Amino acid sequence: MKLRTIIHHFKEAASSIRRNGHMSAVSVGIIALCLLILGGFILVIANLHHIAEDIESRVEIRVFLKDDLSERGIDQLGEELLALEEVKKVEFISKEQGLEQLKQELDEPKVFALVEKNPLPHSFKITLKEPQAVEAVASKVQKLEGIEEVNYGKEWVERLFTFTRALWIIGVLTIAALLTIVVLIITNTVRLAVFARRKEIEIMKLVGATNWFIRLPFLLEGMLMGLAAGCLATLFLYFGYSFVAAKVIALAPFLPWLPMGSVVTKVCFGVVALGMFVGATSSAFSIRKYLQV
Amino acid sequence: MIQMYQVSKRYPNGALALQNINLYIEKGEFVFLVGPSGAGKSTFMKLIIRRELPTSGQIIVGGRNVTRLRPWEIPRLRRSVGIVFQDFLLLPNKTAYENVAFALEVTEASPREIKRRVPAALELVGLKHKLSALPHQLSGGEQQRVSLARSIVNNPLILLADEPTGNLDPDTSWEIMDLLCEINKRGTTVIMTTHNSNIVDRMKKRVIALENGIIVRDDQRGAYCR
Ligand SMILES: Nc1ncnc2c1ncn2[C@@H]1O[C@H](COP(=O)(O)OP(=O)(O)OP(=O)(O)O)[C@@H](O)[C@H]1O
Ligand SMILES: [Mg+2]
Repeated sequence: MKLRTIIHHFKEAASSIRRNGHMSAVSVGIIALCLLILGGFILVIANLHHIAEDIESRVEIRVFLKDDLSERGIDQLGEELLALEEVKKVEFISKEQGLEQLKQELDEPKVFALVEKNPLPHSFKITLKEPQAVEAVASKVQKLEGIEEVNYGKEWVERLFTFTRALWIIGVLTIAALLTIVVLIITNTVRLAVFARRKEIEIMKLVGATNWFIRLPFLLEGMLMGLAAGCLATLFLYFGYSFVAAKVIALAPFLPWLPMGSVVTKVCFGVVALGMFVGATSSAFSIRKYLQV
Repeated sequence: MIQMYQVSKRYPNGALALQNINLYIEKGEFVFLVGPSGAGKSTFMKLIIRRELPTSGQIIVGGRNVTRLRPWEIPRLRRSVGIVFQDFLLLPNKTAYENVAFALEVTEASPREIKRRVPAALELVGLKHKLSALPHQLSGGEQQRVSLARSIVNNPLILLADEPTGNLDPDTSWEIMDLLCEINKRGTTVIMTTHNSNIVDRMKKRVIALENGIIVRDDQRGAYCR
């Protein structure tokens, strides 16, 4: 295909969009709305996921040691713990440090005034590479020598993981469903445009146009409309997100909200690419039937 | 140029449009295809450009078996055959000029060539003054002539004209006949359907008569355009 022909097709696509001005505008609007909903939802899911991950990363195992363990025994145990492959970090917390921390956390000096002897044992604090491995690691640690008790907030951790798993599944399903709807709507919009021009396609075929010659302007038209819709959706996503993010941060500053830059940019690019891709492919599909002349 | 062997065409709804057609049309011939309405004339044309496939039989056009063409080989066949459709088939939102230019654009002709040939073709059919008119602004006869201009604009080897004078007054009809003769003289094989016995009688060309999808007469008068 010659360059001249491609330029010709671009002109055709543009003039066709202009000629069907009203219809094109409606199509672009509908597609933009779909993409906006999809993009917005992805951002919400991404944030929830981010928050869940942040909480997960705080999961830790506390290993309390037997009182009669020698200093060498403690060192050895520390090394054994660090040797476990799921373990990221092992921190020794002595009786005294433990009491200090407890005092700070409880903030109830009177209680401690009554205690004369430190009742706490020495302990290790274990951080994991993969928070999901917490149960497996805990049971492994349990079997080691010189250990009094292993504590990781079993129930709480289990509930957290159930929640994040559910979030993940719901997120994927909803995004898949939305994606399907978006594709269907875009396809349908384009199909209407193609149907309106089936006569033209037939005539082109009869005077000897190749399928690609006929297809290309439609592809370009679908792509241009997808591009326009994607840009429109991006605009709303971008400003919408910064607006909502500002509100949320003001209300709940402790939440690890995703920053503007990373995900939003990705989602916006994704939305534009998706719009163009679906626009182009759905025109290719819609036109197939009419090329059989 | 065109050969048919045992060609039959039955439409999916059961209508038998052509039965057991055998014929040979030589390069440069001028052929009238006549017969009552529904005899199968348009179907005959449609088979040649493979707008329809025959139910059985073989069709050879320009040395190529039309029934065996792969889908991507069809455009080349259609570019070598100009057609004036009975129902014109003009694009309603394109001007007369654009409708004619269209047939050249699909062949990826250069803009210079398009600018040269399109007005020439429209001038030949006497529509030089209506270049920028849309089809609905043209009379039936004028639309027919735009369709004719489109069919000849890329110098086809074969010209199929399905009732090219159907909507025209006698004077204009004869102008079109002169034009078809002129095109035929330049070497293009012309097949034309018509109900106008006056024209058929005066032209003294080969006449193939169809009735109910069967060739009932094939008069070789041997006369060529003078
Ligand atoms: N697409 C179609 N589907 C079904 N039947 C068809 C189709 N086209 C034509 N026919 C039938 O085939 C027969 C031949 O039709 P055709 O159009 O070839 O006739 P024709 O000789 O061109 O008639 P006219 O002089 O009126 O143009 C008719 O009986 C018609 O009803
Ligand atoms: Mg007919």
